Amino acid sequence: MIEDKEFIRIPIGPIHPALEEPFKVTIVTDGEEIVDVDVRFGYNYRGLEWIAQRRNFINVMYMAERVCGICSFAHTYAYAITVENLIGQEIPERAKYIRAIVAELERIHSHLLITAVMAHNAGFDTWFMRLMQLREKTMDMLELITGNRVNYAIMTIGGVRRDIGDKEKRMLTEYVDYMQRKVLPEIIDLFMYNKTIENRFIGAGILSKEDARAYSVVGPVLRGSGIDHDIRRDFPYDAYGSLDFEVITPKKILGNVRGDSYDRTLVRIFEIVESLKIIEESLERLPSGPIHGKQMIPLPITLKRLSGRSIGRVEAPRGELLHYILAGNSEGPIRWKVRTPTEANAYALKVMLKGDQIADAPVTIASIDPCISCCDRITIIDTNTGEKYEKTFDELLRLKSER
Amino acid sequence: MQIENIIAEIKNILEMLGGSITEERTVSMKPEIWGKIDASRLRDFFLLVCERIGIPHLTTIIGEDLGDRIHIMYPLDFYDESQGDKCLYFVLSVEIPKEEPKVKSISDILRVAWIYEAEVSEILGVQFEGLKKEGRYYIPDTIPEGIIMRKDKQDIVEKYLNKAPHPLEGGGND
Repeated sequence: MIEDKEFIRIPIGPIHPALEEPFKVTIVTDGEEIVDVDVRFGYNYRGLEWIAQRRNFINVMYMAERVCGICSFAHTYAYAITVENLIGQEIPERAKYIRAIVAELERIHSHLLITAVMAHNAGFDTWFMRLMQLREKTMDMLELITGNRVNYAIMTIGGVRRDIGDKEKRMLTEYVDYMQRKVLPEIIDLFMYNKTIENRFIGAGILSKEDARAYSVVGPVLRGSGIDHDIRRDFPYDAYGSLDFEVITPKKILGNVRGDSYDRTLVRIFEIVESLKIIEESLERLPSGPIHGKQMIPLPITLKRLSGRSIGRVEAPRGELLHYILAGNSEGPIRWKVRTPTEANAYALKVMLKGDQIADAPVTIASIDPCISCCDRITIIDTNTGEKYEKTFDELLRLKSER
Repeated sequence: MQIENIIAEIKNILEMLGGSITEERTVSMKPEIWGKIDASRLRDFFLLVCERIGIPHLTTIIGEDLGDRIHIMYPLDFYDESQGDKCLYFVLSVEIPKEEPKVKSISDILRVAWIYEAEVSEILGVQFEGLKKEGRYYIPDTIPEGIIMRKDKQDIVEKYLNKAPHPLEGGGND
C-alpha cells in the first residue's frame, strides 16, 4: 500500500453492531481520486473451521447453516452435497426439486435486499421500502415452506426435512405469478430507464473482463463483467441439470458490457426473473415420492465410516460457494473448509475502486453485495496534520449525488 | 481450447514437471481430476498453464495439517470459452514438510492467490516465498499467526482461547 504522506488514507468500516461480516476497506486518495485500496478481514473471526474439527458430521450441518444469515441454505446445500459425494448417495427426485425451490427463493430475497440497498444509494428511498416489502413477501414464502425465516433447517444429508403440500404449492404459484406480472416490470423499468440511476451507477467500479478473470471473482460480479459462468449450469447439481434457465450477462440485457455497478445491478434483477422461472418449472415438475432416501445402514454409522476428500460447490446468491471435507473414519471431519463468495469478490475492490472518486466508493462497495454494510462509518485522517474527521455513509451518498 | 485438449495439456504439463494424476472422476456430470506435483515445480506448473491454456479460475487454496506434513490444494476451473458450460474441475496438490513449511507464492501469476495464500499462512504458518504481505489479513491480531489449524500447536491455541483479551480491554484489531 502507498505510504506517501501526501496521500490521505480513508478507512471504511469495519465494525457495526448489526453486521454479520465486518471488514475494512482502506482507501488511499489523491484529492478526490482513489489511488490505492487495501482490504482486511478478521474482525468477526469465529474459528468455525477449528470448532468443526471437534464436532460430528451432523453438528457441522448446523454450524454451516449459521455461517451466514442471508445465504444460510446455500451453506447447508454445499455441505450436504460435499457429504453426499463422500457417501455416494443419490437423493430422491422430489427432494432435488424442493432444494432448488428453496435455493431460488433465497436467491430472490438476497437479490431484492441488495437491489433495495442500491436503490437507497441512488436516493430512491421509496423504492428501498418497496423492495424490502417484496423481500418480506419472499421470506414469508420461505417461512411457509420451511417454518423458519432465516435459518431454514430444511436441509439434511440425503434429502430435505419438510415436504411441499398442495396449499404451499398453490401459494407459491400465486407468489410467482404476482412477482412476474406485477412487480418485476416495475423494477426493470426503474433500473433500466431511469436517468438518475444511470448517472449514479454507470462507470462506478468498473471491473474489466480480464481483471474479473485475474481476480477470479464469482457470481453476479463475474457475470456483470461479461463472463458467462454459473455453477448451476456449468457444474449442475441436483435438479439444475434438468431445469431450463438462462445465465444472465449484461450483453444479454443491454447488448454491451461495461462491467460497472450498473451492469452488476441489472444482472441481479434479471437473475430474479430466472429464479422465478426455475421455481415455476420446479413446481410444475415436482415428482411424487419420498423426500428423504431410505438407508440400509443408519446415517450416523455411515458417517463414521466416511473417508476421503470431497469438494461441494453451489451457486449461492453472491456466487460460487465451496465446502471441502477431509474425512478419515472419525466422528467428524478432519478438515472442513468454507470459501464464501465475498472472499473472492471483496479482494477485487482493489482494482474496482482504483481511479474512481471517493464518492463512488459506497456504490461500488455495495455493488459487489458484500455480506456486510459496515461502511456506515468513515473516518478521514489527514496524514499531514494528523487531523481526524468523520463522514457518514449518507454524507458520502450526498457527495455522490452532488457530483 | 476444447475441454479434451485442456485435459491432455494438463496431463502433458504434469508429466513434464514430474507430477501425476491421482484421481479422475465425474462429479456433477463434469470431469473432476485430482493431481499432485512436487512443491518446487508449483510455479512452473502455473506459468505453463497460463501460457498454454490461459488463466484458470482459482477457487481457493486449501491447507491442511496431515500430522507429519502440510497438504496444500489449488482447485482450478477450466472453461471451453466457445461453450461456457463445457468445463473441467482440476485440483492440484502439493505436500511440504512440517519442519520447514515453505512454498513459492503464485500471487504474481494469479493475483487472487494473494488472499488465499495469506489465509493459509495465517492459519497454518506456511511461508509463501515472494508473498508481499504486511500485517494480518484473516485472523484477529489477538491470536498468534500460524497455529490455529496446526495439530501440534493446539495447546497454545487453547491457552489463547482462555486468555484472549476482551475488545474493550485492548483486544481486537487495529
